[in-house]
Amino acid sequence: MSSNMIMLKSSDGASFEIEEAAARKSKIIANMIEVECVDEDKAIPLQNVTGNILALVIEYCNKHIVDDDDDVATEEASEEEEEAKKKKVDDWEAEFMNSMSLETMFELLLAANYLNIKSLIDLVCQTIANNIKDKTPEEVRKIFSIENDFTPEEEEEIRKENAWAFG
Amino acid sequence: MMSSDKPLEEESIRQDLEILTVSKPLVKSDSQKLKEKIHKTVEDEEEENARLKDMFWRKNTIKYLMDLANGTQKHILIPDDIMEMCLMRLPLTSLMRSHLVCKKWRYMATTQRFLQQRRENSFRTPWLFLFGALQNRSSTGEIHGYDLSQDRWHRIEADLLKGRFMYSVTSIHEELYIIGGVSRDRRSYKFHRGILVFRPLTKSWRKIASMKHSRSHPIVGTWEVTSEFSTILTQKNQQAERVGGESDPHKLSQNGNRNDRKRFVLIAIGGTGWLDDPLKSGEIYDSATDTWSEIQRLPMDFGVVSCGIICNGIFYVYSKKEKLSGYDIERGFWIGIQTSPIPSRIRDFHPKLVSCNQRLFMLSVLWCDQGDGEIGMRNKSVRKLLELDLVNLTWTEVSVHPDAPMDWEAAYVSDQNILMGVEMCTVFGQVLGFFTVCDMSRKEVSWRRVSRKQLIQKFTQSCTNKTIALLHL
Repeated sequence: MSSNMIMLKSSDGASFEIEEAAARKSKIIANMIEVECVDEDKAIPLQNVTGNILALVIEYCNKHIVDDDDDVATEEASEEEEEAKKKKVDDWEAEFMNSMSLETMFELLLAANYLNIKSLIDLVCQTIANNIKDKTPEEVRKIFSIENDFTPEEEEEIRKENAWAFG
Repeated sequence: MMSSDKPLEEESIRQDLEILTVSKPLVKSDSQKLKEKIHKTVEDEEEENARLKDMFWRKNTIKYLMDLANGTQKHILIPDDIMEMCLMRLPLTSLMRSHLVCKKWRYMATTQRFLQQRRENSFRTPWLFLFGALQNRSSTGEIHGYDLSQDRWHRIEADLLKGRFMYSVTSIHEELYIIGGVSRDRRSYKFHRGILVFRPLTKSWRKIASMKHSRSHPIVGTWEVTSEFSTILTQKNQQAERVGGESDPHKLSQNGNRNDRKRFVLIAIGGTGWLDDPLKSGEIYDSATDTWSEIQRLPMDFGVVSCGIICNGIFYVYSKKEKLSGYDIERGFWIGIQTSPIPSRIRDFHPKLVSCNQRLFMLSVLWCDQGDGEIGMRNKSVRKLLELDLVNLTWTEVSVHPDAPMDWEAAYVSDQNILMGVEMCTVFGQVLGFFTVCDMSRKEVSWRRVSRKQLIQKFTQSCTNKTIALLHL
């Protein structure tokens, strides 16, 4: 292994080794590396991320660091190649998100938000949005354990306001 | 033509779908084969390493997930800002439905900040609005909204439009502007100078100042302008204020509020007046002052304006005499434009100017020039998308529309990067609508058909009276 490896430590004490280039996907970690001169044998503690979620974050970063390298290497790639590559990434992302429960998704989103990894935030938010976009308000309430605090009259009023969009 | 083409078309789509549905297992078995191959040859060590590393992380993930499953399931609390980020990405109809979940969600999804972020991050999706459905020869007063991303039609009641027809429609800032037109009131006709503004998000209507002249089917366009922009009329007003000397603080604050909104101009050119006479004049509306003022007239020999579009601050108009001219909105005058000859079009079909990504295009129906000039062979017509090079002023063909031209009054609208067309025709007394979209952000221009078989039953006799507008909502 030629590239620099760094250690990340989750809130529940699990350690993960990750390439520095992959870890830099996180703005927070990139800052830490620059400012604090991370020791080689000292793990960066991540207070807000549990091990299971950190493992997912690392899987995502590892996958995307390779893609970023590709982008630089083949700047003049044809549109077709570009599209094929994009499709490959899309497929991987779809499968990656597919294997997750909604609960895990939210934890991953919180971690991505804390670690400031914009592309991962986008991916998870979009997946959650796709998950709820065709659900009825009742179904959505169930998923998020939300209580309906509207009176029937208020509900009717909102329904009327947006009637054309419900049809 | 159509009847022989269509089944083939559908067949190929069905096949495409079948391919799509089996593609996942195919991909899996392919990658399996690939892995075996790698395993056997072990030529590329790096790839092998990457694979092992990949497996390591997967195992790691699975182990942790198993651990979690053995523990107690915890209920996670989602911070509002995180939930907001997800809601922002919902398509409009889902977002509206989410208002019903609870009071907090409704509040979150309706704040100005939320809507602004949704706008700025381009989470909005294109909607086509189709006007002008007729029933028993009178306007029904409804708008049909087509949600492109969800492939769904919505019917919007619009009683204000009942009986009104021959108006023009344009859009800016999430609002639709219905301009001019005619209504029939028992035995008399009313010719409109008025503008109705419809805001789909709130399903609300408002009026802005009326035009100076009544116009039916004027050529219209909107353009966002900076606060420095001044029409001739605002210049006059400012001068008058200066002469008056005193400034009214209340009036100033009102102006200030107006300026907070994004300022735009609305231009209406030509159309027909109340004597059914083609109008040569044009007028411009300034949203900052809510007033219309006349603009310079087109040269006498320009002919009747047949279509137009605003592109890069120039309102390009094309006349029935096949002339092109551009109105410079900031500077307030017309410039005659001499271009390379446009391939001669079939006169019965009206050309349409459109603009995407600061490029200017024309849709025009031409004879197909295959068959080396033999008259008998030249009986096929095609609709072509031509682009005008704005520097060299030459027309070049960009793409050929996939549908055989049927509708003389086919309508096309453009937005930042999409182009959408509506063709309607009556077949055995039934109105059929054909909707196509062209994504101009891609290098290769290609059309795709949308909304098949959805609208057929809903329309009657609206072929020649339709008008469309696009909005991102």
